[in-house]
Amino acid sequence: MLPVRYRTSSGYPLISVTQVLTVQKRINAEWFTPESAWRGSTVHRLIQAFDLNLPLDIPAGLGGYLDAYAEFCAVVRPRYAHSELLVRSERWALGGRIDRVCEDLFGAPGLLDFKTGDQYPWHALQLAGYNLIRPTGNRWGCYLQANGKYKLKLYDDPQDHRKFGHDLAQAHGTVTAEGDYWIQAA
Amino acid sequence: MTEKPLEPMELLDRQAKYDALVEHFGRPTDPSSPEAFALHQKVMRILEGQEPDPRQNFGTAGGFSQIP
Repeated sequence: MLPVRYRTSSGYPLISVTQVLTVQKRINAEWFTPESAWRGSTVHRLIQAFDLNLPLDIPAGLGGYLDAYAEFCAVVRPRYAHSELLVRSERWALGGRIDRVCEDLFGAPGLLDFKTGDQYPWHALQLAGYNLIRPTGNRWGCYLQANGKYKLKLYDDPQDHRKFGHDLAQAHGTVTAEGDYWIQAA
Repeated sequence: MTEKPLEPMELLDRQAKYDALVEHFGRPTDPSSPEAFALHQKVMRILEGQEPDPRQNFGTAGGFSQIP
């Protein structure tokens, strides 16, 4: 069962971008382990603290990810408009949280999502979903690695938006909210 | 147990090395062009040692070292 994470101001439930991709089996839950989930959320907290110049308490094993982010900031020099931006669309009955909305990343506005694991095809669709709620421009994935390096990926296939739109329509036909959870039709 | 982040001087050093390589190849006039991103990828590969640094290829085979 998937929890209802987002609602409109009047309480109407919104499915999340990643839940759409989960319901449509683009995301395989077996890829996620408690360790990978902890690593992802902790690194997201650390890089936000880094942005805000807050003191950093880096758990063992995660220093490389932060070094990778620091190097990314130092050489690419992105200009952020928003961090960890909560976005909701009543029109699409869709919600999500965007890691960074960039005013300028390689000379143009764009959405930026950080990952601490491998690249998967659904990442392109995730960013297309965010672009649907918050039309911004380019879609970038930044893959932070334990060895202090990062890889940037520009997702530029316009078909990704069409695919996500299809998945969204299908997902809305598959799940209904009951209380705090989405119930999937058998 | 916790880890220490990179020192600011280390980051400045990496930034300077990156900028020097970008200037060596010629900074693209349009930072949003595909060429600009391709150059970024190339410079990062050089910095990570995956490609040779073109500024350090003196004395290689066929170069001055081959002159008797």
